[in-house]
Amino acid sequence: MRSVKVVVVGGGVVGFSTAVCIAEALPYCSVTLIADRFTPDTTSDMAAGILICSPFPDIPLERQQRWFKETIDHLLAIAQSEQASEAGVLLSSGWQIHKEVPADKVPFWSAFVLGFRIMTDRELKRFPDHKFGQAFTTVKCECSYYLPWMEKRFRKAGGQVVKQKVNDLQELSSQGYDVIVNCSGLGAKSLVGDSQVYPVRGQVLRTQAPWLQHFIRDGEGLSYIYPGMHSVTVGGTRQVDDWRLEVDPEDSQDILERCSRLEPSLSRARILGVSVGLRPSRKNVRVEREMVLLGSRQVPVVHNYGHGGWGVTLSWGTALDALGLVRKCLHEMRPRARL
Amino acid sequence: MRVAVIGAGVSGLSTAQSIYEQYHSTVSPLTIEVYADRFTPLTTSDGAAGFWQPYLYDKGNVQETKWCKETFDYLLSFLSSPDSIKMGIFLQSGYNLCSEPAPDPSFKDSVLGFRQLTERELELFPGYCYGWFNTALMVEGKSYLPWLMDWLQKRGVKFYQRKIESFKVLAESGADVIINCTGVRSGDLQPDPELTPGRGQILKVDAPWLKHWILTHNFTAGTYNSPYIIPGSRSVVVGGCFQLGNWSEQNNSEDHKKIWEGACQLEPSLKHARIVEDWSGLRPVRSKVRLERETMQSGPTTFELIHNYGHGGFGLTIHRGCAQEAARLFGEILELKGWGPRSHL
Repeated sequence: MRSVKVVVVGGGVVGFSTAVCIAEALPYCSVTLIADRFTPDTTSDMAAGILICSPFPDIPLERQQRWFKETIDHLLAIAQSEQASEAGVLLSSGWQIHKEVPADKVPFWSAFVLGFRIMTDRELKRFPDHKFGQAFTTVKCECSYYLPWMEKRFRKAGGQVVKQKVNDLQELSSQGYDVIVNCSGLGAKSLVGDSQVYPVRGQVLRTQAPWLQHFIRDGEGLSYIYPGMHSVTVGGTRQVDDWRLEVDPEDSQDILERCSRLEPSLSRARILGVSVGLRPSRKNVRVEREMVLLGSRQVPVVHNYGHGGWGVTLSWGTALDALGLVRKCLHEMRPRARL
Repeated sequence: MRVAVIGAGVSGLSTAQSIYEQYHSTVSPLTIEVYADRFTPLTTSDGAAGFWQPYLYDKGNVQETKWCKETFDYLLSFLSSPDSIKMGIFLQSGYNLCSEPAPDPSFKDSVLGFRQLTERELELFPGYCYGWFNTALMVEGKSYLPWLMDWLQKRGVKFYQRKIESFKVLAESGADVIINCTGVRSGDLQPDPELTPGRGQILKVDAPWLKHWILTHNFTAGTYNSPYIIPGSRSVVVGGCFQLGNWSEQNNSEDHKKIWEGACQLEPSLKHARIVEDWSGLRPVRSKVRLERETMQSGPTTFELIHNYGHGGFGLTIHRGCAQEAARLFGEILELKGWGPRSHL
């Protein structure tokens, strides 16, 4: 009699969130997380981690709302606990401002952030180029703290962590895993041959500006200022199909110019560093299961990848859905394997 | 025309500034001198968190509400200026919490984005069932005072570290107008039964994940006698206590314990914050701000006094409005004495 062996591929925020969900909910499973890169070298580490997102076009809105709500509620509880600083989770208030009044004045997640309202005229005076804005309080989740904290939680629940590059799912099947959970982000392009996955390059500056207490996000999120625990993230870029991981000094200059127009005091900020991350983008995030023939076995695979720039924002909600799919897989498996 | 300002806290320095701004081009020569026993960073203004917020209710002191609003608008106007960081001015939002429904505070129209707290927000603060959220300003004394001193020094204002024993001494040395901004120790110069210290103790804490101020209000315990947490640009200030009549500037370990326990209950994440140090200060508490003129006798002559003290726990909050009013009173003196424009003295 052996317990069911589940493997989660990917060590970013989606991988660890999913692994923790499974390990904590299914104690009779042995859960292993395998990845070639871990914090601080994952895409998640580059992200500012502010909970905000845009909708995917083909996924029912109520499902996306549930993902957002579950993630923010999970993180809010951590923010209000003694664990907040270790986990890198904090409340963040600020403004999303638009140069033109948007068609959709109220984003689909407005009911789940705190105190969502339209900005007053007096508040907008600070942004002379902008005609409309929304004020609210959301959560910031800093992955360079959150990922180590999640790893601790994962191990406490009996999880094992392995550093290894997985080239194809066949390798995992040969290693005897019963269920494969694929949280490989951009890596899914080669791991499962998904041509719909593409990078959206983002460059950000980390600055020292401890007097900044609010986030400012411009319209579609090209320009943003996100104050964090130890630095202020200033960004960004959205370069589709751009695989460059090197810093582009022209991008840095452009980012600083755009953001200094939003927040003049930024010109006084010291630049601590510049980072690049490739958002694992897809038209729609893929959260679904399938049976895959690996060698001679039909192996259940649960996919949870393609979150684009909304990985942190949807991490816990999609992890819970992935857990649900894993449960379904286990339910359908032959009885002897369930013990 | 010699103006002697006594006191180098925010009131003294900003009054010197307002007088210079309004009269330096019309009164020539205009000599302004600042006398104080304590300068930044050792004044009461330096120890304060630097959070702009008056007491919840002005109890009819509408003039004070007006001066506070004037100060807010004045500070707000510096936000986009290149000097804002040097001045210690920045925006910060946060929560005012009550344990029972309460009328809207006097400052609701002065601040930005004032609104009631939602149910979900109140869930973040067990024990509190009502409150407000708004965006206000910080003006950190440790930056603002040096900036003011630099501003004044560049314009020829001289500073003297000295404890002034009496108004007469200054008048006899040639001061035409004396501005009294001596705060809590004003009674040393002229007894004032309405002035009393409101001792406060704060803990300075390292908790950079906190980006909102949180003030609790207990209507039985009184203003500032319940927990508050105010993040600053360098550290987080945790309070509060408000002990009327207590002149001790020493840190008290019982107060420390009470303040720390209250704050951790309000904000559990503080449990792992590093406490840097304690600080105690004496708020210059008075039934209302004393902002008025007085003519005093010095032998056969008289000299003019302008009092600007008694700002309690809202000195930084009200400073500009009061300084401008003090300058207006100065103008009254000029008119009265025929020391108007183009007067050479």
